[in-house]
Amino acid sequence: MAATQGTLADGLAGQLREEPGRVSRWLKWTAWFFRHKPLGAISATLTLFVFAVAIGAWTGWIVPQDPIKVNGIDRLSSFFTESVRGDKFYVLGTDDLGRDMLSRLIKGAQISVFFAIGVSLISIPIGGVIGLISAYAGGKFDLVVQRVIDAIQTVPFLVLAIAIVSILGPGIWQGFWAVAILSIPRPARVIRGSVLSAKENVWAEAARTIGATDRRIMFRHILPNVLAPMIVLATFVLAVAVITEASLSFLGIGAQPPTPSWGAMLTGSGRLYFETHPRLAFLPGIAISVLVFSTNMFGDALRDILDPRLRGR
Amino acid sequence: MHRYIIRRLVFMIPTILVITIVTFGLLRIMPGDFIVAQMAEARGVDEKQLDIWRKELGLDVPAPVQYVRWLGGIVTGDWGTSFWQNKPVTSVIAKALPISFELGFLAAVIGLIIAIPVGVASAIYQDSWIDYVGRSISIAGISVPNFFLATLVIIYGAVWLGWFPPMTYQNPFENPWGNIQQFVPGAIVLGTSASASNMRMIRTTMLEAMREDYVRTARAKGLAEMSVIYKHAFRNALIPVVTLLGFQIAGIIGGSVIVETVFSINGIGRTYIDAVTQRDYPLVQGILLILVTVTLLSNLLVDVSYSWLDPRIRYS
Repeated sequence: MAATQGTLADGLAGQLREEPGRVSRWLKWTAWFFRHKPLGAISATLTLFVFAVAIGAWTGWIVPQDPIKVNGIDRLSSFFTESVRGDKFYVLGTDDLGRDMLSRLIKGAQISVFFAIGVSLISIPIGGVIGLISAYAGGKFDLVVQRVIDAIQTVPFLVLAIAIVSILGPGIWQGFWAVAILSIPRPARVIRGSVLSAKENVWAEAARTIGATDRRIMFRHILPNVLAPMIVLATFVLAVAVITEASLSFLGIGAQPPTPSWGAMLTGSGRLYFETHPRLAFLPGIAISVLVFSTNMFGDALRDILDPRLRGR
Repeated sequence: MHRYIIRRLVFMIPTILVITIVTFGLLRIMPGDFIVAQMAEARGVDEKQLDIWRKELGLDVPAPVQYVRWLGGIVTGDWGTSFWQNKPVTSVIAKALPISFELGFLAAVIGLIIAIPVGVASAIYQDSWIDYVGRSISIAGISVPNFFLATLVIIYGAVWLGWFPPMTYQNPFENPWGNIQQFVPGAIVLGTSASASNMRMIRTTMLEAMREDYVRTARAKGLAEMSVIYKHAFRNALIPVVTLLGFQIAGIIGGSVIVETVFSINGIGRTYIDAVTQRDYPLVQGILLILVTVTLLSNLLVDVSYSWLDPRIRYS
């Protein structure tokens, strides 16, 4: 008993001793990232910031006011104004219905981010598995799958998304399913390419020789080796999802009012009151741009790091 | 080469078939049809009358039969009649297509004019501030949604220049100035977003070309740096850039849906949105067929010109 406790305590102490090591390795890596890819590192920080805002909005901690509550007497107030009744403070002013812009932007971040994460969580695993099996199986199955993917990728993303949403009816969930389904081909294509080259490696051959099953080779040997391009891909899927959601909402077939989607904010009051209150269009427009920009930039830096051919001298 | 082109053309057919089947199916999964969409506001319309209309529009038979009929019509040149506009689909498309072509062509040219210098400079000065500015511009081009950019152009065009997009189509031969006013702002918006991915591509191919042996040889024999970059690296890096035009097409078609809507240009994109919201099946099907064919043909053209530019590439 005493011996067991001894080893337990030793193990714990060992872990504690190891913990700073792990943290400092992370710190070192972060410092390296910031020094060599400053733009990528800043973008990563920005992306994480928007993600944190989205989680905060979800828990309700950081939404200062009800984003869909109409306050008629406070309509179109400017930056840093107090409400007429004196009970609220509008940091970014209010829109044409007197709704707090800051709260709407924060809630909008939640919609965009959750939309993008949801799309990635559905499309990348499904697309990845399709690509993996397609490359591994080869033959007729591969041919058919690739032709279908070719066909879907031929039509521009937004054009098909509009068609699907018009079938399902306008709404945020309809838009979500449309974008999620249409995002599947790209990961499938990318993963297929990586798997095709990975499965020719000596270790894949070795695994086959010692009698590993196909499933084991695919998921235990090949999959971990193609994870790097998948991570880069995820950032691009995220960016496309954010921008498509905003486009659909802008065209009036995505999120419906009063849901504070960034795209919908731009098209409604944003365009109507642009001359007198450009703030209403600029704030959501900049919010979309910053999120997509930082995600893309982060992905770009990751690709530079993970693809040794493009590494700087 | 001829055999290769013919084989590619034949392989296009299954791709087009898959797309038409998928979209045909999608459009008919939804509850309600064109008749229901049109009659949603009208009250007291007899069910029998609705059935008569359905029969007239050919909606009374099951979807697979409709598809076969439609496909037969496509082959024989009868693309059906637009439910909503009550005109042959072919004539609606024929009217909208040149408008979109002009917009797309201008956008592609503007996109390349922006992309090439920035992409090359970004590669030559890799990881310097020029590279960072260039890449930021290119990624900003992808990130700033074109509907936001279009909104800015519309509003500030009106405020600063007193410019409003003309509402009707301006023929370039009868009214050149009106035509420019109608197309150029939209083309700039489309071109800017299309140029973004090109810039990244040019940067990458330039980076690869600059590490090639022949570039080292050119430097070693004492050529001026300018000459090395433009005569040796750039010319070779340009070959893959041809594929960019292929990539651009899909981006421009997708973007034109939004740009045409915002700038009220009656091209394919705007017609498509209207047709989709009206559930005008024959028109939606026809437009998708045209879009797919245009994209596939331009991809083929790109691949063929690729081998023409680079003699090392031979297709068999």
